[in-house]
Amino acid sequence: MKSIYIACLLLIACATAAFAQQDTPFDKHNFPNRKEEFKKAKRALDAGEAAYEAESYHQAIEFFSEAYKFNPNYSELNYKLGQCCRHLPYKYKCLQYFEHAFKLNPSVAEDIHLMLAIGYHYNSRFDEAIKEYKTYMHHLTPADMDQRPLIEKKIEECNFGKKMQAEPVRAFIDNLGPTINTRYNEHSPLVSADESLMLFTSTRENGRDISEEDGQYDEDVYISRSYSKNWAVPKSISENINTTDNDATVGISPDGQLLLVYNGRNGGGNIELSEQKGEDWSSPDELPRPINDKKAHESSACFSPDMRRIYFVSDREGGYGGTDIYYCELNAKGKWGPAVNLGPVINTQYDEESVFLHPDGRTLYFSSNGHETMGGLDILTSQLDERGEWSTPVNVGFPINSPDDDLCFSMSASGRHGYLSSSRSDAIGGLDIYRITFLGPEKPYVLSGEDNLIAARSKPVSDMVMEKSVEIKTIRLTIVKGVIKDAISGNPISAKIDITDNEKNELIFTSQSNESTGRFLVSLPSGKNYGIAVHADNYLFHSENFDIPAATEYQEIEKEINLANIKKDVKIVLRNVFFETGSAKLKPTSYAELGRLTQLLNEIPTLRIEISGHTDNKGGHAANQKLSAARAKAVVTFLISEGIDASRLEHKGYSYDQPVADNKTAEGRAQNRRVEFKVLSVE
Amino acid sequence: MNIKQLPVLITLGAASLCTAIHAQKPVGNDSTLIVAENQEAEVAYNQGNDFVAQRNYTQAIQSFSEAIAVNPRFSKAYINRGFAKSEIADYAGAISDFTHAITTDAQAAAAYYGRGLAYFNQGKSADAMQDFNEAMRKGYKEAKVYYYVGIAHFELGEYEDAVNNLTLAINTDGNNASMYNDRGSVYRVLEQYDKAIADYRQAIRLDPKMATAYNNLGSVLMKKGNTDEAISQYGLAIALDPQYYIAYNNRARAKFEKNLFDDMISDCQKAISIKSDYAFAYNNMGIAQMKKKDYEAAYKSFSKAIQLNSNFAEAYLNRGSCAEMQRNFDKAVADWKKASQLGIEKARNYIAFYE
Repeated sequence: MKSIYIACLLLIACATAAFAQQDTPFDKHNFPNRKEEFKKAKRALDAGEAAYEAESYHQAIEFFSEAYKFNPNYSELNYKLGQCCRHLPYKYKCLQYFEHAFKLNPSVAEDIHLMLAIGYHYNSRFDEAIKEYKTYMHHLTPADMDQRPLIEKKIEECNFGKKMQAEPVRAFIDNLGPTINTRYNEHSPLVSADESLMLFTSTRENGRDISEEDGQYDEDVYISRSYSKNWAVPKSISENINTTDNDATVGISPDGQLLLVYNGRNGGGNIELSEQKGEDWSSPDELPRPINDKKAHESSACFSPDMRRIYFVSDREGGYGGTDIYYCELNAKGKWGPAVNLGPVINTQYDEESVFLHPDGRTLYFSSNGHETMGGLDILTSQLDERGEWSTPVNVGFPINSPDDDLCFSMSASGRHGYLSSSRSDAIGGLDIYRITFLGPEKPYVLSGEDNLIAARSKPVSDMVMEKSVEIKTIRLTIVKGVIKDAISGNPISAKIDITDNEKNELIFTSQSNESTGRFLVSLPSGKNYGIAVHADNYLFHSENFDIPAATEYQEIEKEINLANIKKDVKIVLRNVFFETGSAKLKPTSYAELGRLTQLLNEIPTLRIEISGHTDNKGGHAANQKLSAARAKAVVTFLISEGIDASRLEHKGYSYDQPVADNKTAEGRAQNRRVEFKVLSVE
Repeated sequence: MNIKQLPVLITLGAASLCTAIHAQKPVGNDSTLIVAENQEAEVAYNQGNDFVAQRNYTQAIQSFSEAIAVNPRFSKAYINRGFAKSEIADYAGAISDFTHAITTDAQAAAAYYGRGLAYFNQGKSADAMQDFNEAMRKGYKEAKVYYYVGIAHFELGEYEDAVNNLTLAINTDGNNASMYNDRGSVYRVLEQYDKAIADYRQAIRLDPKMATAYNNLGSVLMKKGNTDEAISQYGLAIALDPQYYIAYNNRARAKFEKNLFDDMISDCQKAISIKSDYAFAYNNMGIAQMKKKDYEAAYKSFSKAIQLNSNFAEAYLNRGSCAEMQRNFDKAVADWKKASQLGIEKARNYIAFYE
């Protein structure tokens, strides 16, 4: 089992190797089926090698590129293509070749880790660059240890680059586009204070011979004017300025009338001055000593706004190292005074280049690879204080600066725009001129939100501290009035009316109907259960029940009461006999009514009665039969307990067989639920 | 049985009712009832109270008005009509009624309290506080009065007094979540965030369904830099009240701090789906879109916020910044000028760079 597993692993490894790209040298045996193509590619490779050895990288890259099309998987070719890029303006392109070279052959060159580091560095991939720089540094031989400070500086640059990248400057960096830039180099833009005029240097085609060394034409000065926020197609500034030598822009007076140009004619290069004459420019005059030093190279210069001081860059002796920035001042006689080094605050052991003084006369911009930079020459700025001392230069930051060289910075008087030359990923070719649009101060976003801070404000407060209802003294009563008559003759009867509080089982008061009219009126205040018994001599009593809740408003009840004589078969409803719901258990509120019945039976000893129970038609007949019988019996039991002879009493349940009202209404059903007594005999 | 109900009073005999009950006598054909005292106003008033109990405020107001028509000095009817009017948000009418009640009965604490509440609901904190204090002087010293006085102080910017009164309210009724929530909010304004957090948490303990307390707690946690817990609290507020657009918008703000711009946009969209005219959410969504460098969408969002609220200074400021990133500097300056006019001072700095 184990052997099968290992075999599978080996198979996978072999398959992977077969598909992986392999280092493929330019050997005819590697291309047996592409002989003719191989020959052509090999010739290009050889030509490239020759140019490469001669350090003519722009030529080498042309040949190498042709060979690369045929065979991109040759580690050495990739390495050399990377080296060519590294020596040409578009340095950032080197990375793709170094990475591929390393992938094909990790030992392609002793310095491959350094080259990878440089490639990552140019592409602002600072962490990867640091890693590769450290790898390279750890493998330095004792003989190469002198490289260590340089590598450490590169690592510092990467760390600084990370910091700058994390806090980018608020600016747009725009390539000025094909109107200004070409596939050749454009650099050293000079813009008049009002941005109406731009002068710059270009190595574009100029009718003269191209340099085999760098593939560029000699430098000439071009001029463009602005219109509608755009730059017009540039033209050569003047035959007086552009010669067969390198003629380059260096500095311009704030009013755009004086132009400092570099001319590579004499020695290491000197600075000359041309003056605008109408539409043309005068032939440049070399600036006198001590500005120009025959033994040195002066490459950049600018005037102070008052034209009394000129700042310039020179590699003359006595500096801090590399190129330094100096200035000369006009003396009272109109002569330039001695060259003064700006000192160690500005100048370092490395190069300071491309000096530009803002029209405010106090803000200096220059390029340097000696101060804190993120790689190559970076643009820095320093302020001249009241005492004439320069502040510590500050890197103008990312993305104005890049890991490659950033040079020739100038700025409009408004401070809104800056210009520089650089070669970035969007470059048209070589060095291009870029315009920086500064966006002013950081503008923090202003988020908006709200909270329901106060709960009582989430909706209107509702709280009613109501005054209570008042007592209505006059109307909360029920007036029961009517007439009491003989049930047979209809004649008025003078009857006694007993009002009983059924709850308390006590007689509240007694009233009497009018003897001649039979009329009566009783007032029943709300809030009680009243029993009303009407009785007259020789008549059976009549009972009514009035349950009047406390909230009952005033009402009048008109009632005609017909009293029946005591005789056989007369029925009387006992309206004030109450039972527990669904039960035959008498409520105490019944006792007053049953007391009256007991009294009647005592007063007429010959009276025999039947107590009958009746229900409404809710529920089954049998159940109601049982309930009605039980209730009738309960009444009889009560009467017996009060001393009435049982032989005088009968009881019977009638269920809902003898309704006295309509069972369809609640009121009717209430009337049907009743206990009656019927006179069986009085003799 | 013939039952005849009378809606209004009848008259009774000269004898009082009680006397009538205990000494009823046989009556003749000409028997009549004469009322000694007319209580028509009281009946209407009681009827009004019954309508209030049924939350039928319109009918209640009508009944109270009948009572007042019969008895124009019926102070209680004015008070209760005032409360009924407050219930239907007729605060001006309520204030008039309470004022009338006070005129006829200067000791009516309920009238002062009721008028205070009406002023409170009108947002007139100073007037409300004056009446609440008067109600307390008349003996109405309920926790809720301290509470409303506390809120009135808060709204008048008298934060220490607000804390004192809300603390009195809490000491009187320690189980009221709203009181803790609101005191927490005062502490928040006083930048006493730990105390605010403690109060909001207590409000939540007392009422675990109080979505606003979760939201407020989230906002203070944000101020304390505890963005993760803030997002969590906003989430709880939303879970309790899925229509709580304010919490969605606030969670979007919190997500800005976490660079969760897609989530931020999603929360803003949710808030807008609940409240389509919620300008704040449009403003915040614009910011998220700017962070994603979708300036075109951001500009539209800010414009919508401004369309919804033409005085939305922050939206003008942000739209100006968006226009700047779109290189439309003239529009940027115009918006910053508007923001400056609306009170955002830093907009002047922005303008100065371009002028």
